[in-house]
Amino acid sequence: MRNDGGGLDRIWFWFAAMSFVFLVVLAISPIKDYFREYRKYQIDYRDQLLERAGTSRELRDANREGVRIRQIWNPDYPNRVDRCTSCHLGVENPGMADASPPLRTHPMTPHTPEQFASFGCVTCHRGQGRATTMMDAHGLASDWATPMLPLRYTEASCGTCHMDEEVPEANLLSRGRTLMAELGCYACHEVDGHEAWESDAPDLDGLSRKTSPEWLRTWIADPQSVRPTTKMPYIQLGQSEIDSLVAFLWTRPAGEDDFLQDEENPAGDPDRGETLFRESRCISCHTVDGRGNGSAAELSGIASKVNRRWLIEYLENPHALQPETKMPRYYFTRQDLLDLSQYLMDELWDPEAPPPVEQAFRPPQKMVEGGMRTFRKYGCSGCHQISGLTDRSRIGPELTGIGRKPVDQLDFGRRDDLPRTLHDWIGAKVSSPRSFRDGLKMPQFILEGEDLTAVITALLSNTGEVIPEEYRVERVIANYDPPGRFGELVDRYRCLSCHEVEGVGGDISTAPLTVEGSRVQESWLKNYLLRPSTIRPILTDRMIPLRMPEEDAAFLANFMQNVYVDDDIPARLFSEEPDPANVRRGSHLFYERYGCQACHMIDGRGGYFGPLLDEAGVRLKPGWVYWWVLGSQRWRDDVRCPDYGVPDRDALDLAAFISSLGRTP
Amino acid sequence: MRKTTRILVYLAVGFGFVLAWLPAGRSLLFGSDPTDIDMNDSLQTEDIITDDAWRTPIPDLGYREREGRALFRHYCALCHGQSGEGDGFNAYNLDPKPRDLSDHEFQTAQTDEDLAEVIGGGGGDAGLSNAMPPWGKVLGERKIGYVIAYLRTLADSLPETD
Amino acid sequence: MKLEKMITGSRVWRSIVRHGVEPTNRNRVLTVVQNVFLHLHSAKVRRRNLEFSSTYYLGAVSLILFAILVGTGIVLMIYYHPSVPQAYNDMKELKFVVGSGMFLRNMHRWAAHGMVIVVFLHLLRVFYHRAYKPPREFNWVVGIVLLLMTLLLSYTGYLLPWDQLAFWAVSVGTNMVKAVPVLGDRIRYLLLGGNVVGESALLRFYVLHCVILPLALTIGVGVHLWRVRKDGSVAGSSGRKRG
Repeated sequence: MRNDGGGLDRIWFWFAAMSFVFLVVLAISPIKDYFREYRKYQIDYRDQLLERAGTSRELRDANREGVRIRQIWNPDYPNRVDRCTSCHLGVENPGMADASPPLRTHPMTPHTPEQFASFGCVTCHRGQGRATTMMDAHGLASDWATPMLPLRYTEASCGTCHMDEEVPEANLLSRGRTLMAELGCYACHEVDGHEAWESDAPDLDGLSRKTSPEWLRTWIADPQSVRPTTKMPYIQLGQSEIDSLVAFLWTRPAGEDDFLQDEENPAGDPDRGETLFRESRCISCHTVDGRGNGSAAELSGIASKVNRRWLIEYLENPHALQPETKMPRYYFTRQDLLDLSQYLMDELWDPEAPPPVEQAFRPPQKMVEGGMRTFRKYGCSGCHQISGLTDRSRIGPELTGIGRKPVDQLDFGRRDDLPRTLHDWIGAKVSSPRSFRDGLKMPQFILEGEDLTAVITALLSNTGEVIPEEYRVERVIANYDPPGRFGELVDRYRCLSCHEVEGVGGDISTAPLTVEGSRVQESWLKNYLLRPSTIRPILTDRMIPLRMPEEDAAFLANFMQNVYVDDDIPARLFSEEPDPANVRRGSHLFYERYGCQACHMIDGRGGYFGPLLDEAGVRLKPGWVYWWVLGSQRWRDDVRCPDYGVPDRDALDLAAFISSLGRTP
Repeated sequence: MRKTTRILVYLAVGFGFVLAWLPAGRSLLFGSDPTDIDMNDSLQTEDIITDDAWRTPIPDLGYREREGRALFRHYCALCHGQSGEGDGFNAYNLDPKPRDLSDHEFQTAQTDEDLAEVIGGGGGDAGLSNAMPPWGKVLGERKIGYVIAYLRTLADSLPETD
Repeated sequence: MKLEKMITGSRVWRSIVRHGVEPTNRNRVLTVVQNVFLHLHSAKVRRRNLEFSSTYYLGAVSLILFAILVGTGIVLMIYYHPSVPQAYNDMKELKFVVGSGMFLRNMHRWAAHGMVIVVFLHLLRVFYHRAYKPPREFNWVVGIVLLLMTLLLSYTGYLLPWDQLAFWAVSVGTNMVKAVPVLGDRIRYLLLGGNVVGESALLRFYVLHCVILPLALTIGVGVHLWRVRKDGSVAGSSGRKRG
């Protein structure tokens, strides 16, 4: 058979050749398996361990490191395996801090190194945990939905579990989230957990009584050019849209007189007005030329914006014109109002503002209707309330889950220049929203540098991911309503615009009022409400004199004394007056041992930062001082008075010393 | 003719097999993956549209430096000043004056451990002024680490040598 | 020599190799007749029929590819869970962790592509040689059924990786089924085990792919080969002049 001819010989030859080729091909796979990418890192790591080994035990352990897949597996997360440690070998080894990546130690963060086992790598950095090659693991291979976050945005991952606005040890994320709420992103975009967001933009009813059409036109055209600190964005409207919008706003509510002619209010005394302005500490909230706290509107240029009649009405009772405003209602006399308004109108005008036209503005009905459409189209009602428009629907797309959207679901439109990544897309969307295609409505916000990075981070943190319950840190929405007459007064004086009680209220004041009754003495508090003295000389945003009647002050002080108390804080520390021996020892501790005078001033000696202690014996309760010294961070966790770890006896002596200050025996 | 056809068929099949197993051969056939993205920061790589604020490179601080900056500004800058030069507003009445932390020589002389000791234990324990309080209980080891990371960014650059 | 005798004389040896090993014609015939695999083929064929140009070996190649598919498929089953989302993760495990896992998957995949192509070429060859004419018309029909099963196997296997490609391919495919008059919706429901491509669809496709269709195909191939023997080998009726 074998000798039958050349044809069969050739078949044998090809059979042999193909068998050989096939064998070679078969061999490729095991060889590739053997020389996997992580092999060289693991060998390198072992070498470095051997080099650093100090004891024979370390040497033995190092020698035992073979080439194998390493992984972090956490049963709490179904289907999650992180094999990143196959290359990033030194992350948990503090001895590798000076090694070069990928062998370097992971820097210390709130969750590392203690919680590597429960968090793994992908939880924070994203990428593909199962993969064992660099391209795949980092999520750079095409079509992997969640590529690694660039390091600058990693804080976004804190926000996957931490739903709160303020996330501890993630200040970029916290800043981004705060900015999103402040700038009013939630006015147009629905986001899970932010349905209750409320705008602090002014109501737009009655603008014809307040301002002039010219001013309104300039303002709507570009608010930031009029007042750079405003939160209102540049909406990029066309001229006819602006005109119609002004017409619409001017007629809400219809039939109002304009306030150009002001015959009822005689001129006031601007000098006395200036004194009033300073005494009333307006810049505790407002700014003038950028000086001041900045939580309320900039006042320079106010005279070009509003007319005097409106100003007087507003100062007399702000809540009648803007029910939601944070401004308290001062007890100004009529003369006060005339003088104060005279000062503001004389001094704070804007030279660049358009001069008001004398004749009344009567827009045609068609223009008003067009303005209403424009108002709706750009979603103005997301922030501003106005009569006749009750639907406050959000005009933007929902943003829940935006932080994890696969790139191929994003519309890049005209932006061919962008790298195809989610964070680049968000960055461009936030910084030049209209550049993607025509007909978009999102206004232009001014966000630069770290603010922009912060907002991108905050958006990336919104993954809408379902995470195990025990990992979630829920957003706590405080809910507290001061009761009864106290509540009415708190509302009138808008205490909660600055002070915080039970987690509700503003943060302008450093003093939450939750335990005010355990803290200060009633008689002092009453006097302070009537005539606020300076406690911290360095602050611009100090307690304002509200000119309240004495009975209000007495009631408020008494209420707080009885209700805002904490049983953990001793109500009485000494049976009578403090023992002079304790006072002496306390004084010594104050100056020599703990160096309290570095921040606190007594008799003109000492630092500026801490509250003046001259009258501390009249102001503070001894029990409070004792409790404070033993750990002031229990009051507010960002208190700057350090925890010295003061022993109990020292605390008693310090309390004795401080309580003796300013007392007239 | 039949011989050639046969050889061609075998060759084609063999070649196909080899290509299929080799990743390199694969990219030859199907083109390479668009994976050459700069992972750390692709924002700065292209600069076509200049009005995009996010494209402007900003001197980025890393996570720990950023945290350290927030802590420094909150707790330290009162005395040591925003840029660490010892000129905070609370330093006015202090004697001795707070240390100029941006001083290059000071920065090189102190190791991280030295700094951690003074920040954590206070000036009094380290034989310095007791006006520098101990922050160990408030901040803890990790946050002091952040602060030190930020302090290092405050150092002046080396003085020019001729 | 003694050892050899001991082995060849043992009961075990004789139970397996019942005839001798001498190269006589009788032994050759016995070898073929007594071996189940060789027996599927004729004991004697014309040399002309074995030449490449007669059949291009397309039937044999598809049989070999099928064997490869069964072999690699069984190994792949060891690593695979037909559940969501574990199915996709298993693909990742095969790629990154299982030794030669990618090789296995590629082997299975390319063999599957190859089988579809080769079976189709086989059909063309038969068609252009007019080999579907009597007495082989029955085997032609059997062959067509086998082609359909091959395509179905290929299609059901497509869903198993549970990636986007799989999901949408099956969504489109099962929507096409809906176009069948009257019964369309019901057939689709039967295939998917529901109204959407979900976990039960994955399970059904898995069972089809790994049990029902391979079994059916194996039986079909048996019938096909048996008919080849009964009706005479293909080349004999190729319509070509005998050389």
